[in-house]
Amino acid sequence: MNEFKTYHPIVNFTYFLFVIGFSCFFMHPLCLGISLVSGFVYSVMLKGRKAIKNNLLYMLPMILITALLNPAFNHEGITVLDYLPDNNPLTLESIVYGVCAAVMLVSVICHFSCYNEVMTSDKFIYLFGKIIPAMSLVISMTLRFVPKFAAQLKVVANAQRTMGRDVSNGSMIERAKHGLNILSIMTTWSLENAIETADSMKSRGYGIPGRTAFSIFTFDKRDKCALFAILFLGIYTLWGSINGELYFRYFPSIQSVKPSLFAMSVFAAYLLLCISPIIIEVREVRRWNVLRSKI
Amino acid sequence: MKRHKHKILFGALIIAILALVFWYGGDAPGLRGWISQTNDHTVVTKNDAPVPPASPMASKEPAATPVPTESVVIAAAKAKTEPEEQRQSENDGQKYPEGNGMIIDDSTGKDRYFTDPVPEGKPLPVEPQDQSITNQEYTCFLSVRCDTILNNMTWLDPEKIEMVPADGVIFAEREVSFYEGESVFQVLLREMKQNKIHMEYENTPIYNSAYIEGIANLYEFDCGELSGWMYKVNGWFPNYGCSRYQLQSGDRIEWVYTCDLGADVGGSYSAGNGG
Repeated sequence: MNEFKTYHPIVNFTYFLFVIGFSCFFMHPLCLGISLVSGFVYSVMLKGRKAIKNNLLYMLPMILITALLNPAFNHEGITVLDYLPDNNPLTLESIVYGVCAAVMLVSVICHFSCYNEVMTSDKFIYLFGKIIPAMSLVISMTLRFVPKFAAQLKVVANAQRTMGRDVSNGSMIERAKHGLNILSIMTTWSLENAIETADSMKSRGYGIPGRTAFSIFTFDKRDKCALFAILFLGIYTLWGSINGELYFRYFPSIQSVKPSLFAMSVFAAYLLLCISPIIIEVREVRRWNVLRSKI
Repeated sequence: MKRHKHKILFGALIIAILALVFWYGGDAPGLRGWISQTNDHTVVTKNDAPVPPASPMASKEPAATPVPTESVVIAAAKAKTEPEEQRQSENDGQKYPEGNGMIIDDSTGKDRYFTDPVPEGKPLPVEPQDQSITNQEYTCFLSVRCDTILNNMTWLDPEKIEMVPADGVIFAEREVSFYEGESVFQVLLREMKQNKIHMEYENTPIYNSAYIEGIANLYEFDCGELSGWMYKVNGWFPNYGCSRYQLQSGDRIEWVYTCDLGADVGGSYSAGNGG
């Protein structure tokens, strides 16, 4: 399930640029639904079954908390359901808005988790290494930091355990001491590692004009088709939203534009854009099955 | 000369941008163009002339006092609680007329909730925590209006157009009952709730009062950045919050929406936006 990963980095990046950008700004409930479902399905396709549990584990509490918190601070809206203990109104609109804002937040996080799977640091450096060398190195190092830190933490903790200095050994105070010791080792390591990375990149002449970089990425016909499709769908959706076809308001009363044919087509374009990697994966699986059945 | 050409151009560009921004002004009626500052004052004086008792600025002149005298007596009596008297004796250099009994901090010229001295003959603020509400029922008059928006429809948030009634009256003036010792805020809260009119407020501890953010979904800043709700009692815009205004029987409370910090409803910004 990583056919989309093998596409040219520019295709991957354009896709995520559009999808994450649109997910951040489109507040129409239908758009939010499209974004959430596609992000959820794609992250499960990328990371397997256990992603379902992981996703639900943060999604449900977040949606619940935001849906409860928003009406506690926001009292706008014409549909007064009840009064809060401080005599401010509890409105339907504020609850709906809270849920929608939570869905938006969750779907953006979901898309970012897909981004981290697909856009590996080599792809990012390939795209931006020439234009903004220092910046792209810093960004890719930052994005890599947490997973790298977690991996190193495991190594250090295991090494300490062999000496009986793990956080699972000794009394409460001793455990805390061991934990702090590991933390101090990790801090030193991460500082040193950052300097080492910078030095090593410098000694390789990174960022110097005239330096060439090997890359394994080729832009072929398949990428061209995908890029064209993603660009077309993205720009069409953008055009539709500029024309107000995705207009939706929450306050003071919930209201949407009348569903026109144009609006429907914009929603369809947005849906196709969001599920384009899923389509690519499914088509690839089907082709594989057809090929195999011929053998 | 050629060397410094781009510097001069850059400077000229900055000046042009600043001039443009100054001319463009703020996001409210009367703030745009070159004469924005003088605008407010002319409006205030214009409105003040035909309605002499409405102006809190006219405190220096012997203004007509529509407030019943008993309220002054009560206010003075309220002021004679022990700690206030003590502090008063410490502050010898008080410029504030005696008998009105407001504790003014000499360094700021305001009381501890940042209220300027109340004009003579007007009721003093009564802190919500000091209010003693009895079972004695009185009546007063309450109205909520937003006429000023009708004159400034272009400034109104387009989402809120349907919220504005055609005649600008949200709550037509009528006699409502209240209990002795209650504040303007408590009456507004009860009446809005009873008549199913939306109202949102926020407690502001620094002014020791509730601040009315929106009535009937018309919020502050919905009609330009100088807009919001203000209240007047018997034609006077109190310079303190609505939780601190203790009602007397027969008082006339008017809640009005301003689009220009009170200048368009006959108050001034010193009256405190919204109480």
